[in-house]
Amino acid sequence: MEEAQKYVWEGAIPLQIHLHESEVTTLPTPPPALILAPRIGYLPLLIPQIKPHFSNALPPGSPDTVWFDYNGLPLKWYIPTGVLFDLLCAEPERPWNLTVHFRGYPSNILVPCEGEDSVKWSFINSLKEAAYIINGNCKNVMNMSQPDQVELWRSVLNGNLEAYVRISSKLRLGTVGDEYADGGGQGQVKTGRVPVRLYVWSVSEDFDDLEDAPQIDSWDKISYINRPVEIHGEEGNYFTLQDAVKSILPEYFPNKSSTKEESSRDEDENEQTVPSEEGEKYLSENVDTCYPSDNVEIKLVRIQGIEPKMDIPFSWVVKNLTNPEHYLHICVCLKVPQVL
Amino acid sequence: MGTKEEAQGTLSSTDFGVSASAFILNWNTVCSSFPPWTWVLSHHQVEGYLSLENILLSSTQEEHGELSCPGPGKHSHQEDPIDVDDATLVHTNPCKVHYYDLHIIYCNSYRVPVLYFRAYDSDGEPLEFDEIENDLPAYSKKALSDSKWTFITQESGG
Repeated sequence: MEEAQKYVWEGAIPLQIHLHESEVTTLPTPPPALILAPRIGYLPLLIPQIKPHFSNALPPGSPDTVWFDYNGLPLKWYIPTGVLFDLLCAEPERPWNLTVHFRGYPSNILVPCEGEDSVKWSFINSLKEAAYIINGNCKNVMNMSQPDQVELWRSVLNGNLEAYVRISSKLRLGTVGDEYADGGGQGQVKTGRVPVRLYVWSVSEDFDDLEDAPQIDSWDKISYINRPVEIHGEEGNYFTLQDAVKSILPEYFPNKSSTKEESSRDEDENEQTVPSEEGEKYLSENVDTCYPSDNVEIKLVRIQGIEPKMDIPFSWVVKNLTNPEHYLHICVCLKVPQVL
Repeated sequence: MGTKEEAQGTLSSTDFGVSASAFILNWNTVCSSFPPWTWVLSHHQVEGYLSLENILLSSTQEEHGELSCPGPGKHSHQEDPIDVDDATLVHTNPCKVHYYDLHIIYCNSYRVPVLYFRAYDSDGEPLEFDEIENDLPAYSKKALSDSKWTFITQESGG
Protein backbone atom coordinates (compact mmCIF):
# COMPACT_ATOMS: atom_id res chain seq x y z
CA MET A 1 0.00 0.00 0.00
CA GLU A 2 2.78 2.39 0.98
CA GLU A 3 4.54 1.81 -2.36
CA ALA A 4 1.65 2.92 -4.51
CA GLN A 5 0.98 5.96 -2.38
CA LYS A 6 4.65 6.96 -2.75
CA TYR A 7 4.41 6.72 -6.52
CA VAL A 8 1.29 8.86 -6.50
CA TRP A 9 2.96 11.52 -4.36
CA GLU A 10 6.08 11.48 -6.49
CA GLY A 11 4.13 11.72 -9.72
CA ALA A 12 4.84 14.94 -11.58
CA ILE A 13 4.10 16.58 -14.90
CA PRO A 14 6.86 18.42 -16.75
CA LEU A 15 5.47 21.82 -17.73
CA GLN A 16 6.75 24.26 -20.29
CA ILE A 17 5.18 27.60 -19.43
CA HIS A 18 5.02 30.40 -21.96
CA LEU A 19 4.17 34.00 -21.19
CA HIS A 20 1.17 35.11 -23.22
CA GLU A 21 2.38 37.10 -26.22
CA SER A 22 0.18 40.10 -25.39
CA GLU A 23 2.08 40.53 -22.15
CA VAL A 24 5.59 40.36 -23.48
CA THR A 25 7.28 43.76 -23.50
CA THR A 26 10.89 42.79 -24.10
CA LEU A 27 12.82 41.59 -27.07
CA PRO A 28 13.72 38.78 -27.44
CA THR A 29 10.70 37.05 -25.93
CA PRO A 30 11.58 35.40 -22.65
CA PRO A 31 12.20 31.67 -22.93
CA PRO A 32 9.52 29.44 -21.43
CA ALA A 33 9.86 28.35 -17.82
CA LEU A 34 10.40 24.63 -17.29
CA ILE A 35 8.79 23.33 -14.14
CA LEU A 36 8.11 19.90 -12.72
CA ALA A 37 4.61 20.16 -11.28
CA PRO A 38 3.46 17.61 -8.67
CA ARG A 39 0.40 15.71 -9.84
CA ILE A 40 -1.27 16.14 -6.47
CA GLY A 41 -0.57 19.87 -6.43
CA TYR A 42 -2.32 22.86 -7.92
CA LEU A 43 -1.18 25.35 -10.55
CA PRO A 44 -1.42 28.56 -8.43
CA LEU A 45 1.10 27.01 -6.03
CA LEU A 46 3.71 27.17 -8.80
CA ILE A 47 3.39 30.90 -9.22
CA PRO A 48 6.24 31.75 -6.81
CA GLN A 49 8.53 29.73 -9.09
CA ILE A 50 7.17 31.12 -12.33
CA LYS A 51 6.80 34.82 -11.56
CA PRO A 52 10.50 35.65 -11.10
CA HIS A 53 11.20 33.99 -14.42
CA PHE A 54 9.01 36.46 -16.29
CA SER A 55 9.08 39.55 -14.09
CA ASN A 56 11.50 41.39 -16.37
CA ALA A 57 9.30 40.93 -19.40
CA LEU A 58 6.05 42.06 -17.84
CA PRO A 59 4.58 45.47 -18.52
CA PRO A 60 4.74 47.92 -15.60
CA GLY A 61 1.85 48.29 -13.20
CA SER A 62 0.42 45.91 -10.65
CA PRO A 63 -0.54 42.58 -12.13
CA ASP A 64 -3.92 40.95 -11.90
CA THR A 65 -4.43 37.44 -10.58
CA VAL A 66 -2.25 34.94 -12.40
CA TRP A 67 -3.99 32.33 -14.53
CA PHE A 68 -3.09 29.60 -16.99
CA ASP A 69 -4.52 28.29 -20.20
CA TYR A 70 -3.99 25.21 -22.34
CA ASN A 71 -4.72 25.78 -26.02
CA GLY A 72 -6.86 28.74 -25.10
CA LEU A 73 -8.85 26.97 -22.41
CA PRO A 74 -8.51 28.75 -19.04
CA LEU A 75 -7.52 26.17 -16.45
CA LYS A 76 -9.60 25.74 -13.31
CA TRP A 77 -7.18 26.27 -10.47
CA TYR A 78 -8.88 24.05 -7.90
CA ILE A 79 -8.49 20.90 -9.99
CA PRO A 80 -5.25 19.05 -9.16
CA THR A 81 -2.59 19.48 -11.85
CA GLY A 82 -2.42 15.76 -12.60
CA VAL A 83 -6.16 15.62 -13.18
CA LEU A 84 -6.07 18.59 -15.56
CA PHE A 85 -3.34 16.85 -17.53
CA ASP A 86 -5.13 13.50 -17.67
CA LEU A 87 -8.33 15.17 -18.71
CA LEU A 88 -7.18 17.69 -21.29
CA CYS A 89 -4.34 15.78 -22.91
CA ALA A 90 -5.87 12.65 -24.37
CA GLU A 91 -2.51 11.91 -25.89
CA PRO A 92 -0.08 12.90 -23.10
CA GLU A 93 2.09 15.80 -24.17
CA ARG A 94 5.52 15.99 -22.57
CA PRO A 95 6.43 18.63 -21.67
CA TRP A 96 2.94 20.02 -21.30
CA ASN A 97 2.81 23.43 -22.94
CA LEU A 98 0.82 25.94 -20.96
CA THR A 99 0.44 29.69 -21.23
CA VAL A 100 0.64 31.93 -18.19
CA HIS A 101 -1.19 35.26 -17.93
CA PHE A 102 -0.65 38.05 -15.45
CA ARG A 103 -3.60 40.09 -16.68
CA GLY A 104 -7.15 39.78 -17.86
CA TYR A 105 -8.41 37.20 -15.39
CA PRO A 106 -11.41 35.55 -17.06
CA SER A 107 -13.85 35.87 -14.18
CA ASN A 108 -16.71 34.65 -16.32
CA ILE A 109 -15.01 31.26 -16.52
CA LEU A 110 -12.81 31.01 -13.45
CA VAL A 111 -13.79 31.65 -9.85
CA PRO A 112 -11.56 34.16 -8.08
CA CYS A 113 -8.30 32.94 -6.65
CA GLU A 114 -6.29 34.73 -4.01
CA GLY A 115 -3.18 32.63 -4.28
CA GLU A 116 -2.15 29.94 -1.85
CA ASP A 117 -4.87 30.76 0.66
CA SER A 118 -7.68 30.09 -1.80
CA VAL A 119 -6.11 26.81 -2.80
CA LYS A 120 -5.63 25.80 0.82
CA TRP A 121 -9.27 26.48 1.68
CA SER A 122 -10.47 24.66 -1.37
CA PHE A 123 -8.37 21.70 -0.26
CA ILE A 124 -9.65 21.77 3.33
CA ASN A 125 -13.25 22.05 2.14
CA SER A 126 -12.81 19.03 -0.08
CA LEU A 127 -11.22 17.15 2.79
CA LYS A 128 -14.18 18.06 5.00
CA GLU A 129 -16.61 16.87 2.33
CA ALA A 130 -14.67 13.63 1.93
CA ALA A 131 -14.72 13.11 5.71
CA TYR A 132 -18.48 13.59 5.72
CA ILE A 133 -18.90 11.07 2.92
CA ILE A 134 -16.68 8.47 4.58
CA ASN A 135 -17.62 8.87 8.24
CA GLY A 136 -21.04 10.51 8.10
CA ASN A 137 -19.68 13.57 9.86
CA CYS A 138 -16.75 15.95 9.54
CA LYS A 139 -15.98 16.50 13.21
CA ASN A 140 -12.45 15.21 12.85
CA VAL A 141 -11.59 17.74 10.17
CA MET A 142 -13.37 20.65 11.81
CA ASN A 143 -11.72 19.90 15.14
CA MET A 144 -8.20 19.72 13.76
CA SER A 145 -5.88 21.90 15.77
CA GLN A 146 -4.44 24.91 14.02
CA PRO A 147 -0.87 23.51 14.02
CA ASP A 148 -2.15 20.21 12.61
CA GLN A 149 -4.01 22.00 9.86
CA VAL A 150 -0.93 24.01 8.97
CA GLU A 151 1.27 20.93 8.98
CA LEU A 152 -1.17 18.94 6.86
CA TRP A 153 -1.32 21.66 4.26
CA ARG A 154 2.43 22.10 4.35
CA SER A 155 2.95 18.41 3.79
CA VAL A 156 0.82 18.60 0.65
CA LEU A 157 2.60 21.78 -0.52
CA ASN A 158 5.99 20.16 -0.12
CA GLY A 159 5.03 16.66 -1.18
CA ASN A 160 6.08 15.30 2.18
CA LEU A 161 4.27 11.97 2.40
CA GLU A 162 5.68 11.04 5.81
CA ALA A 163 4.41 14.20 7.47
CA TYR A 164 1.10 13.82 5.66
CA VAL A 165 0.52 10.27 6.88
CA ARG A 166 1.36 11.31 10.43
CA ILE A 167 -1.35 13.98 10.54
CA SER A 168 -3.97 12.44 8.27
CA SER A 169 -4.07 9.15 10.13
CA LYS A 170 -5.56 11.08 13.07
CA LEU A 171 -8.50 11.90 10.83
CA ARG A 172 -9.43 8.23 10.49
CA LEU A 173 -10.41 8.44 6.88
CA GLY A 174 -9.72 4.89 5.83
CA THR A 175 -12.54 3.52 3.72
CA VAL A 176 -13.24 0.06 2.42
CA GLY A 177 -11.24 -2.77 3.81
CA ASP A 178 -9.56 -0.50 6.29
CA GLU A 179 -11.92 -0.85 9.19
CA TYR A 180 -10.16 -4.05 10.14
CA ALA A 181 -6.64 -2.76 9.64
CA ASP A 182 -7.51 0.27 11.71
CA GLY A 183 -7.34 -1.75 14.91
CA GLY A 184 -11.02 -1.13 15.57
CA GLY A 185 -10.42 2.62 15.70
CA GLN A 186 -12.83 3.93 18.31
CA GLY A 187 -15.74 2.08 16.79
CA GLN A 188 -16.20 4.50 13.95
CA VAL A 189 -18.73 3.08 11.56
CA LYS A 190 -17.96 3.58 7.93
CA THR A 191 -20.75 4.59 5.64
CA GLY A 192 -19.64 2.47 2.70
CA ARG A 193 -19.46 5.63 0.62
CA VAL A 194 -16.34 6.66 -1.25
CA PRO A 195 -15.61 10.25 -2.32
CA VAL A 196 -15.25 10.41 -6.10
CA ARG A 197 -15.00 13.26 -8.56
CA LEU A 198 -15.71 12.23 -12.08
CA TYR A 199 -14.72 14.28 -15.12
CA VAL A 200 -16.63 13.00 -18.12
CA TRP A 201 -16.20 13.96 -21.73
CA SER A 202 -18.21 12.33 -24.46
CA VAL A 203 -17.51 11.60 -28.08
CA SER A 204 -20.05 10.52 -30.63
CA GLU A 205 -17.54 9.14 -33.08
CA ASP A 206 -15.05 6.44 -32.41
CA PHE A 207 -11.33 7.05 -32.56
CA ASP A 208 -8.54 4.51 -32.49
CA ASP A 209 -5.66 6.79 -31.71
CA LEU A 210 -5.70 9.14 -28.79
CA GLU A 211 -4.14 11.72 -31.08
CA ASP A 212 -7.38 11.76 -33.04
CA ALA A 213 -9.49 12.42 -29.98
CA PRO A 214 -11.36 15.68 -30.26
CA GLN A 215 -9.79 18.63 -28.46
CA ILE A 216 -11.61 19.92 -25.39
CA ASP A 217 -12.02 23.62 -26.07
CA SER A 218 -14.65 24.49 -23.49
CA TRP A 219 -15.58 23.42 -19.99
CA ASP A 220 -19.11 22.92 -21.30
CA LYS A 221 -17.84 19.77 -22.96
CA ILE A 222 -16.95 18.26 -19.60
CA SER A 223 -19.43 16.93 -17.09
CA TYR A 224 -18.06 17.33 -13.62
CA ILE A 225 -19.79 14.87 -11.33
CA ASN A 226 -19.20 15.07 -7.61
CA ARG A 227 -21.04 11.96 -6.46
CA PRO A 228 -19.95 9.34 -3.92
CA VAL A 229 -19.74 5.69 -4.90
CA GLU A 230 -21.63 3.33 -2.59
CA ILE A 231 -20.19 -0.06 -1.80
CA HIS A 232 -22.27 -2.59 0.06
CA GLY A 233 -21.05 -5.33 2.35
CA GLU A 234 -19.73 -8.55 0.89
CA GLU A 235 -20.31 -7.17 -2.56
CA GLY A 236 -17.32 -4.95 -1.78
CA ASN A 237 -14.92 -7.77 -2.55
CA TYR A 238 -16.12 -8.15 -6.11
CA PHE A 239 -16.88 -4.52 -6.83
CA THR A 240 -14.76 -3.48 -9.76
CA LEU A 241 -13.69 -0.11 -11.10
CA GLN A 242 -16.14 -0.63 -13.94
CA ASP A 243 -18.97 -1.22 -11.46
CA ALA A 244 -18.01 1.94 -9.61
CA VAL A 245 -17.94 4.18 -12.69
CA LYS A 246 -21.25 2.82 -13.95
CA SER A 247 -22.87 3.25 -10.56
CA ILE A 248 -22.27 6.99 -10.60
CA LEU A 249 -23.49 7.42 -14.15
CA PRO A 250 -27.06 6.16 -13.84
CA GLU A 251 -28.11 8.33 -16.76
CA TYR A 252 -25.92 6.22 -19.05
CA PHE A 253 -25.97 2.94 -17.13
CA PRO A 254 -29.37 2.55 -15.48
CA ASN A 255 -29.31 0.46 -12.33
CA LYS A 256 -30.50 -3.01 -13.09
CA SER A 257 -30.37 -4.45 -9.58
CA SER A 258 -31.66 -2.65 -6.52
CA THR A 259 -28.50 -2.46 -4.47
CA LYS A 260 -28.78 1.18 -3.46
CA GLU A 261 -30.08 1.95 0.02
CA GLU A 262 -32.90 4.09 -1.37
CA SER A 263 -34.09 1.37 -3.67
CA SER A 264 -36.83 0.23 -1.33
CA ARG A 265 -38.46 3.62 -1.68
CA ASP A 266 -37.24 4.42 -5.18
CA GLU A 267 -38.82 3.03 -8.31
CA ASP A 268 -35.81 3.46 -10.51
CA GLU A 269 -33.15 6.20 -10.46
CA ASN A 270 -34.33 7.51 -13.79
CA GLU A 271 -37.84 8.21 -12.66
CA GLN A 272 -37.00 10.52 -9.83
CA THR A 273 -37.50 13.58 -12.01
CA VAL A 274 -41.28 13.14 -12.07
CA PRO A 275 -42.13 13.28 -8.40
CA SER A 276 -45.82 14.18 -8.45
CA GLU A 277 -48.81 14.90 -10.62
CA GLU A 278 -49.04 18.61 -9.87
CA GLY A 279 -45.28 18.95 -9.97
CA GLU A 280 -45.22 17.75 -13.53
CA LYS A 281 -46.46 20.94 -15.04
CA TYR A 282 -43.51 22.80 -13.54
CA LEU A 283 -40.97 20.44 -14.99
CA SER A 284 -39.38 21.32 -18.25
CA GLU A 285 -39.95 18.97 -21.12
CA ASN A 286 -38.97 15.47 -20.04
CA VAL A 287 -37.45 14.18 -23.22
CA ASP A 288 -36.95 10.49 -23.22
CA THR A 289 -33.19 10.26 -23.58
CA CYS A 290 -32.45 7.14 -21.66
CA TYR A 291 -29.40 5.56 -23.21
CA PRO A 292 -29.50 1.80 -23.19
CA SER A 293 -26.26 0.59 -21.73
CA ASP A 294 -25.35 -1.35 -24.88
CA ASN A 295 -24.86 1.83 -26.86
CA VAL A 296 -22.76 3.68 -24.33
CA GLU A 297 -19.16 2.64 -24.16
CA ILE A 298 -16.52 3.58 -21.63
CA LYS A 299 -13.64 4.41 -23.94
CA LEU A 300 -11.07 5.62 -21.48
CA VAL A 301 -10.62 5.76 -17.73
CA ARG A 302 -7.62 7.55 -16.33
CA ILE A 303 -6.61 7.89 -12.69
CA GLN A 304 -3.28 9.39 -11.62
CA GLY A 305 -2.13 9.13 -15.20
CA ILE A 306 -2.71 5.41 -15.47
CA GLU A 307 -5.43 3.50 -17.26
CA PRO A 308 -6.29 0.62 -14.96
CA LYS A 309 -8.01 -2.52 -16.22
CA MET A 310 -11.71 -2.06 -15.69
CA ASP A 311 -12.03 -5.26 -13.68
CA ILE A 312 -9.54 -4.14 -11.07
CA PRO A 313 -11.07 -4.25 -7.57
CA PHE A 314 -12.37 -0.79 -6.78
CA SER A 315 -11.15 -1.05 -3.19
CA TRP A 316 -7.55 -1.26 -4.43
CA VAL A 317 -8.03 1.86 -6.52
CA VAL A 318 -9.47 3.72 -3.55
CA LYS A 319 -6.73 2.67 -1.19
CA ASN A 320 -3.89 3.55 -3.51
CA LEU A 321 -4.85 6.23 -6.01
CA THR A 322 -6.68 8.85 -4.00
CA ASN A 323 -5.46 12.40 -3.68
CA PRO A 324 -4.43 13.89 -0.32
CA GLU A 325 -7.90 15.33 0.28
CA HIS A 326 -9.18 11.75 0.06
CA TYR A 327 -10.96 12.20 -3.21
CA LEU A 328 -10.54 9.82 -6.07
CA HIS A 329 -10.42 11.85 -9.31
CA ILE A 330 -11.43 9.82 -12.33
CA CYS A 331 -11.28 11.05 -15.93
CA VAL A 332 -13.68 9.20 -18.19
CA CYS A 333 -14.27 9.34 -21.90
CA LEU A 334 -17.61 7.95 -23.03
CA LYS A 335 -18.68 7.10 -26.49
CA VAL A 336 -22.36 7.87 -26.76
CA PRO A 337 -24.75 7.52 -29.67
CA GLN A 338 -25.45 10.82 -31.41
CA VAL A 339 -28.51 12.50 -29.91
CA LEU A 340 -30.91 13.17 -32.78
CA MET B 1 -38.25 9.73 4.59
CA GLY B 2 -36.54 7.35 6.96
CA THR B 3 -36.20 8.43 10.58
CA LYS B 4 -32.43 8.08 10.41
CA GLU B 5 -32.29 10.68 7.67
CA GLU B 6 -34.66 13.00 9.46
CA ALA B 7 -32.54 12.77 12.57
CA GLN B 8 -29.41 13.70 10.67
CA GLY B 9 -31.17 16.44 8.76
CA THR B 10 -30.44 14.80 5.45
CA LEU B 11 -32.71 13.71 2.64
CA SER B 12 -32.51 11.41 -0.35
CA SER B 13 -32.34 12.82 -3.84
CA THR B 14 -35.81 11.49 -4.57
CA ASP B 15 -37.20 13.30 -1.56
CA PHE B 16 -35.42 16.41 -2.73
CA GLY B 17 -37.36 16.20 -5.99
CA VAL B 18 -40.64 15.74 -4.16
CA SER B 19 -39.93 18.58 -1.75
CA ALA B 20 -38.90 20.84 -4.62
CA SER B 21 -42.26 20.36 -6.35
CA ALA B 22 -44.05 21.12 -3.11
CA PHE B 23 -41.89 24.21 -2.66
CA ILE B 24 -42.75 25.47 -6.13
CA LEU B 25 -46.45 25.00 -5.50
CA ASN B 26 -46.31 26.75 -2.15
CA TRP B 27 -44.24 29.61 -3.51
CA ASN B 28 -46.60 30.22 -6.39
CA THR B 29 -49.53 30.29 -4.00
CA VAL B 30 -48.06 32.36 -1.21
CA CYS B 31 -45.67 34.58 -3.15
CA SER B 32 -47.64 34.96 -6.34
CA SER B 33 -46.43 38.51 -6.87
CA PHE B 34 -42.87 37.24 -7.07
CA PRO B 35 -41.42 35.57 -10.14
CA PRO B 36 -41.80 31.81 -10.02
CA TRP B 37 -39.15 29.24 -9.28
CA THR B 38 -38.63 26.76 -12.07
CA TRP B 39 -37.41 23.19 -12.03
CA VAL B 40 -34.55 22.61 -14.42
CA LEU B 41 -33.43 19.18 -15.54
CA SER B 42 -29.77 18.49 -16.00
CA HIS B 43 -27.46 15.54 -16.46
CA HIS B 44 -29.55 13.99 -19.15
CA GLN B 45 -32.84 14.33 -17.33
CA VAL B 46 -31.81 12.40 -14.26
CA GLU B 47 -31.13 15.19 -11.83
CA GLY B 48 -32.87 18.50 -11.46
CA TYR B 49 -32.57 21.72 -9.53
CA LEU B 50 -34.61 24.76 -8.61
CA SER B 51 -33.84 27.98 -10.38
CA LEU B 52 -34.80 31.62 -9.87
CA GLU B 53 -32.82 34.00 -12.01
CA ASN B 54 -32.29 37.69 -12.56
CA ILE B 55 -33.87 38.70 -9.29
CA LEU B 56 -33.56 42.24 -8.09
CA LEU B 57 -32.61 41.83 -4.48
CA SER B 58 -31.60 45.23 -3.34
CA SER B 59 -31.04 48.73 -4.49
CA THR B 60 -29.87 51.96 -2.97
CA GLN B 61 -31.55 54.55 -5.14
CA GLU B 62 -30.74 57.92 -3.58
CA GLU B 63 -32.70 60.95 -4.72
CA HIS B 64 -34.63 59.79 -7.69
CA GLY B 65 -38.05 58.22 -7.59
CA GLU B 66 -38.61 55.46 -10.04
CA LEU B 67 -36.21 52.57 -10.38
CA SER B 68 -35.34 52.38 -14.00
CA CYS B 69 -32.33 50.14 -14.29
CA PRO B 70 -32.76 47.22 -16.65
CA GLY B 71 -31.50 43.76 -15.78
CA PRO B 72 -28.17 42.89 -17.34
CA GLY B 73 -28.32 40.98 -20.52
CA LYS B 74 -31.65 42.40 -21.44
CA HIS B 75 -30.29 45.58 -22.98
CA SER B 76 -26.75 45.99 -24.06
CA HIS B 77 -27.06 49.76 -24.18
CA GLN B 78 -29.02 52.25 -22.12
CA GLU B 79 -31.93 54.01 -23.75
CA ASP B 80 -31.08 56.91 -26.05
CA PRO B 81 -30.15 59.70 -23.65
CA ILE B 82 -31.95 62.29 -25.74
CA ASP B 83 -35.27 60.72 -24.79
CA VAL B 84 -34.53 60.77 -21.09
CA ASP B 85 -35.62 63.63 -18.90
CA ASP B 86 -32.62 65.78 -18.10
CA ALA B 87 -33.31 65.68 -14.40
CA THR B 88 -32.69 61.96 -14.16
CA LEU B 89 -29.47 62.05 -16.19
CA VAL B 90 -27.56 63.73 -13.43
CA HIS B 91 -27.00 61.05 -10.82
CA THR B 92 -24.86 61.88 -7.87
CA ASN B 93 -24.80 58.22 -6.98
CA PRO B 94 -24.96 55.55 -9.64
CA CYS B 95 -27.89 53.23 -9.50
CA LYS B 96 -26.86 50.46 -7.13
CA VAL B 97 -28.93 47.47 -7.91
CA HIS B 98 -27.91 43.96 -7.13
CA TYR B 99 -29.16 41.03 -9.16
CA TYR B 100 -29.06 37.44 -8.11
CA ASP B 101 -29.43 34.10 -9.82
CA LEU B 102 -30.48 31.52 -7.26
CA HIS B 103 -30.17 27.80 -7.70
CA ILE B 104 -31.10 25.15 -5.16
CA ILE B 105 -29.26 21.97 -5.98
CA TYR B 106 -29.13 18.60 -4.28
CA CYS B 107 -25.70 17.81 -2.91
CA ASN B 108 -24.89 14.13 -3.15
CA SER B 109 -22.04 14.36 -0.66
CA TYR B 110 -23.85 15.98 2.25
CA ARG B 111 -27.31 14.80 1.14
CA VAL B 112 -28.85 18.20 1.62
CA PRO B 113 -30.08 20.96 -0.65
CA VAL B 114 -27.51 23.69 -1.23
CA LEU B 115 -28.19 27.26 -2.30
CA TYR B 116 -25.91 28.47 -5.05
CA PHE B 117 -26.12 32.05 -6.13
CA ARG B 118 -24.54 34.46 -8.58
CA ALA B 119 -24.58 38.11 -7.61
CA TYR B 120 -24.02 40.89 -10.10
CA ASP B 121 -24.69 44.56 -10.72
CA SER B 122 -26.62 46.19 -13.52
CA ASP B 123 -23.64 45.87 -15.86
CA GLY B 124 -23.47 42.17 -15.28
CA GLU B 125 -20.23 42.51 -13.31
CA PRO B 126 -19.90 40.12 -10.37
CA LEU B 127 -20.37 41.73 -6.98
CA GLU B 128 -17.57 41.91 -4.45
CA PHE B 129 -17.86 39.68 -1.45
CA ASP B 130 -18.55 42.49 1.01
CA GLU B 131 -21.36 43.80 -1.18
CA ILE B 132 -22.96 40.37 -1.02
CA GLU B 133 -22.47 40.27 2.72
CA ASN B 134 -24.40 43.50 3.04
CA ASP B 135 -27.31 41.98 1.19
CA LEU B 136 -27.58 39.05 3.56
CA PRO B 137 -30.31 38.93 6.19
CA ALA B 138 -29.11 39.70 9.71
CA TYR B 139 -29.05 36.13 10.97
CA SER B 140 -26.94 34.98 8.05
CA LYS B 141 -24.49 37.80 8.56
CA LYS B 142 -24.11 36.78 12.17
CA ALA B 143 -23.59 33.14 11.21
CA LEU B 144 -20.76 34.20 8.92
CA SER B 145 -18.87 35.71 11.81
CA ASP B 146 -19.71 32.95 14.29
CA SER B 147 -17.23 30.35 13.21
CA LYS B 148 -14.59 29.89 10.59
CA TRP B 149 -16.66 26.99 9.30
CA THR B 150 -19.78 28.99 8.47
CA PHE B 151 -18.93 30.69 5.28
CA ILE B 152 -19.89 31.19 1.71
CA THR B 153 -17.65 29.32 -0.68
CA GLN B 154 -17.00 30.21 -4.26
CA GLU B 155 -17.43 27.34 -6.64
CA SER B 156 -18.05 26.49 -10.18
CA GLY B 157 -19.52 23.19 -11.07
CA GLY B 158 -20.49 21.09 -14.05
